[in-house]
Amino acid sequence: MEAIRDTTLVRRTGVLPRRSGRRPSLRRATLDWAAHRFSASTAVVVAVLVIGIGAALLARSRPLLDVYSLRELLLGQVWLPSQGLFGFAPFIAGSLVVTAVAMAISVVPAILSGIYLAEYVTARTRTALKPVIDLLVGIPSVVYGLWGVLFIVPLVRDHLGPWADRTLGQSIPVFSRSNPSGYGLLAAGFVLAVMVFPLIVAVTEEVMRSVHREMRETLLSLGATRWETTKTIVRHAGLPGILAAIVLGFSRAFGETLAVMMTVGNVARMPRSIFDPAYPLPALIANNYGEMMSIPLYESALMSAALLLLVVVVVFNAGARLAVERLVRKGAA
Amino acid sequence: MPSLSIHNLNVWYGAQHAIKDISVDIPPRQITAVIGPSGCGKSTLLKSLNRLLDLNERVRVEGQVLLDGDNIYAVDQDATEIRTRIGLLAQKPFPLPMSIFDNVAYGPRIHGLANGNIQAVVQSQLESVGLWEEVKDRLSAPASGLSVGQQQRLCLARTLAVQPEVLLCDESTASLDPISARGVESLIRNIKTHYTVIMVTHDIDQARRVADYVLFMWLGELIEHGPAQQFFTAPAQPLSQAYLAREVG
Repeated sequence: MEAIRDTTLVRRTGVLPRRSGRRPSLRRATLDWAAHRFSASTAVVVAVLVIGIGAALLARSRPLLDVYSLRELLLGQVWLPSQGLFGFAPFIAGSLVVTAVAMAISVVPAILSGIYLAEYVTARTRTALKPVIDLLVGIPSVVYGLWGVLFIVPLVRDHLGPWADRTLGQSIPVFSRSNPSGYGLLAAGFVLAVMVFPLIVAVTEEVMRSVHREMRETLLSLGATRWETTKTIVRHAGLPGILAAIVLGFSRAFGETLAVMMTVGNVARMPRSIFDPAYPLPALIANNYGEMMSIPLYESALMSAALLLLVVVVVFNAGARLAVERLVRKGAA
Repeated sequence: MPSLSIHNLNVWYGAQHAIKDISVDIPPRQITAVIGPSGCGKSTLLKSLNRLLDLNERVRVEGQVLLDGDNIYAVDQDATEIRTRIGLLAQKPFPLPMSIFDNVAYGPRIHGLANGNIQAVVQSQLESVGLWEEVKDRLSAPASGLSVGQQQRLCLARTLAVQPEVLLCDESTASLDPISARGVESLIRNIKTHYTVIMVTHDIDQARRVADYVLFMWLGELIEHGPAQQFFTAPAQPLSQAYLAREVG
């Protein structure tokens, strides 16, 4: 009781409480004060870091932003820095499409897997599988990239591409095989999907496991089947967390550089088919920073690309956070 | 009316022998109180009766629980059906994170009991627990906004809406304030004409007030069982006498 009051006192006044009677010893009080201050300062550092990165990128982007309008930059489709043409549209489209392909492939199976791990398997199976999932999250992206080059690109080139060409591609342009190399949006999206999958599985599993045991027992006691129980838990308790899992997957996919760069083809053109090569923003920066810096505004353009990445991820996260809060209010209030 | 009888029931949590060879017939349409000190296996016994113990992988169950002569632990038995027939009112009220209406409607909806008139079913269940007048104007409000006593009555309505044959109550008034506790208690007393009720309680006075039949447990064993009148006036076992005199437990 005493200790609790002291902590509040420190929080309110920021001074060490005077010692007396049953108050905690000076050592305990000091430690408590220091722990509070230390955790507060680290939280501030994190916030400052994000703002600092944003500010630095903005400052370095200014030369480009002063010359061209935002509209020219975002909608321009031609990227010829040597002629002073900085159209970001192909890169933005590349990033969005490759992420969309990855999410379209991975989200549903990953969420179902996470739910399965949380609700259906025995504790022993879960203990065996969880380290594998965590390991998959931790594999370096260059390894995924190599695997993509060795297996996925040939798969797309020799099987998926020709198959699409014979079937869907005839009538639907998005599936037409425009590029026989195999390197392109589909291959990169597939590699990304495999990278994002374990992340969404892990978070979904965690979310589902954190739901009150009582809720599960209540639903089962009412004679609900396993699946009805799971469905109700997802709809009424798990949705915000699962949305957070998807956002995490999106952010990871949107910012992934190496594995995408190795498989996407890197051609700065507006993609028209999922077999087209593309050039996502992270690949643009990684491939070009440090080269051709003699071209005026080139560095500034790459910084703008980085700023754009940061803004999209921040906006997407904030939007998702808002959506989650609205969901929570609707569900629990 | 369903008959419920327990034959040589043993339950282990890992190596811990929680229920030791219990055999007893539960009288229908009466309130059977299971009493005994904390940790004597009362709640475990209760949860073994609707197969909620299945959720814990470390639990091993031996023996039989016969519902109308069929062993609920037989391999061809469906736990979902057992739980539909044997309802549970938990110790702490747990309103599902949805509206008051949906809490009550949940069971009838999944079991297809409403016959197209879910409104009427919900209203009659809420009336049966005396909650209708209090909540009829805010049926779509979240159930978590109710007081704890109201929540427990809502949980009772929700359980009864499934139309169970047996009602298990796991210290269902223990977390309520005295007035709400009395309210829920008298509700349970009123419904025994339709249901077989098995009520775990650590409150001897409550058992005295409501029970028709008593099971007295001690360290996983069933020490004594019999009609409440007989148990409370002339307990046969020395341990029962000591427990009722509050010398042990």
